[in-house]
Amino acid sequence: MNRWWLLLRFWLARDLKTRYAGSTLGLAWAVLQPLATMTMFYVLFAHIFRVRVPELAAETGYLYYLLAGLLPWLTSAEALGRGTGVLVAHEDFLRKQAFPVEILPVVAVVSAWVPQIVGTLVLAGLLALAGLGPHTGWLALPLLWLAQTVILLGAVMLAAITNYVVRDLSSALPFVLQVLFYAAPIVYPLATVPEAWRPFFLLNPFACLVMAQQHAWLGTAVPPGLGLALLAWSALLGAGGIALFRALKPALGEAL
Amino acid sequence: MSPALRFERVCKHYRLYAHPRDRLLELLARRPRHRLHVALEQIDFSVARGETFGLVGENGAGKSTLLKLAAGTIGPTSGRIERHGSVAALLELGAGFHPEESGHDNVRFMAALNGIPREAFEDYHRRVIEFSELDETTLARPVKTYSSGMFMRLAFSAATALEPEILIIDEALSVGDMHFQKKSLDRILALRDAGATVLFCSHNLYQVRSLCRRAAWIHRGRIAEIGDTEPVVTAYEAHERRKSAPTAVPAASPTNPSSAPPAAAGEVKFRALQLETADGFDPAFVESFQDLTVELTVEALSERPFHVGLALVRNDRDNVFGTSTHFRDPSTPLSGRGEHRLRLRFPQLPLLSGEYLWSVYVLDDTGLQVLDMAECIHPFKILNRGCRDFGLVRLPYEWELVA
Repeated sequence: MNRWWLLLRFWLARDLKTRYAGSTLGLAWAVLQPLATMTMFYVLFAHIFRVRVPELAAETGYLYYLLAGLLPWLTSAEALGRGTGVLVAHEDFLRKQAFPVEILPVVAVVSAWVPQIVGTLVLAGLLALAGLGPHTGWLALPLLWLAQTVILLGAVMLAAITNYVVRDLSSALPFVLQVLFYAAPIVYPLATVPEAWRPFFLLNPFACLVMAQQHAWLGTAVPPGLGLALLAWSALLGAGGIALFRALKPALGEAL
Repeated sequence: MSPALRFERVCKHYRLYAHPRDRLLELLARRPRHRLHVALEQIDFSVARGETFGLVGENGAGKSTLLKLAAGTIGPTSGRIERHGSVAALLELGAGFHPEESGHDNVRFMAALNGIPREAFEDYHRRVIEFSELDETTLARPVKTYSSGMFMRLAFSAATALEPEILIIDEALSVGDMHFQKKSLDRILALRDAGATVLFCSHNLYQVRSLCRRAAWIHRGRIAEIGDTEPVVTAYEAHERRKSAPTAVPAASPTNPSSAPPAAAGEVKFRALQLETADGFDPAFVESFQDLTVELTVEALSERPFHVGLALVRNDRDNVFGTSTHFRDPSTPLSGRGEHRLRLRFPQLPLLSGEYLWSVYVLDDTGLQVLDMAECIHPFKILNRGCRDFGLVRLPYEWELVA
């Protein structure tokens, strides 16, 4: 077990070190990329479409809302984007070296957390400056981050194993991510969605993560049953994905 | 004492699918859509502790699959594999290296990858660096900037510095320059002498002979021979020779597989090759420094002009010497329907003892397109009874005492 953690540390360090190798800004890109995405959405939706979050004041309210939703979403998209192809990419390596394979999806999830850690500090600072925190709702955040990690681990393991068998998944992935993104209230407030439609968001595990974290940060409204849905997704994806991965692990490296 | 490594009725089958989606359809429809590829069948052997065991066999015979099973990177379809002791496998040098990371970082990573405890890292790192003989500036650079020799040296050092109880090596000994090759070999011998079990696969039969006490010849997924190295390797060599050098002259067997005519052929055929020395036609052996004459017979089925090439080949398929009529005069190819006979004379043949073969090529008038060929035919022996010089060929020389 000790060996497993040591190897995870080294693999993670290698992943972070080599990801932006050769680029001038290096690891700064891990923060610059999400920052650029956020700026784009902010300009587009706050200033051009003039989207407002009813519970929050004017433009800055929308910025906090966007940030609170984008943080878990970008981590999820990054983890899935990198994690899906991770077994295929290391197929040859796995045949040549006895190795605890689960390290690959775990590293994909953990390293996707880097921008969220930075973003969380930024958001907490902004809210504190605006006098919107800290408040007791924030106490729920660690629990939500745990749920996020469990759901992502399961989802990435599921996606990686599926992609190993059906390689088409990695081609379909950008579209799937786009659908999941718009099927979550990230750039638009939940309040603008017709009441009858809101329960459907519970069917998107990433929307559940987004809504729960927005609520914890800002106290925005959520559809009833969100807590239950999160629990169910954590159990289903987390346990299911990990179980499937463990079951199919011996077959890795076999496919010619 | 129990063996270090034991295979019990081990089989390895692969399912081959014509198309990736067949794998999914099979899963869903529960109807087989694959072809079974039997990589290994009923493999039964064990390697004693401290023994160096060799594997020989053709490409695709199943040697690499066997090594992967022994290393545990893949599992058997049926049967049992027992390993007693820590294993290090050099199935591919540098598996686990990252091109963007420095030599130092890659070595540390290898330590973590192979489960070296944190407190032993420094010691491992020091031994790898020492053995690799790479300097500090090199080690600080990303390994993608290394020459392949430098890369191999570091990878070999990292793998063998693990000091495993069982070492599994796939063709890894031809690493780097001659100096380092010798060092690698010594390293493996040192591990063996320290009591490590070595499972070793190589196409270099000389190395197998000199390193291994016992060996197995894997042929088409089964063990064809197993036991003391010498008889096993000899049996494999005999098989290889039967395959690559048919003893009959192609004239006697025009459908000879090794002389299958190329696609663009047919118009000029090679028919026969005969040797002549002072001892007569095709003698039991040719003596060194005798005159040797090779007579080639070709038959032209059309008016197409052609050239004839001839190569003298050592029994390991290395060309010793080759020439062609178009080297002599490219502008005047041979031509005319019917049989042509050519003689090539080697005055006082300077080759020393050995077994040799011939390769004959019939080429078009440009000397580029092959019309017919017969490779590695007509084996013959050369025996040197004239001098004590050794080697392949006697070069002209003179000794001079200068002081």
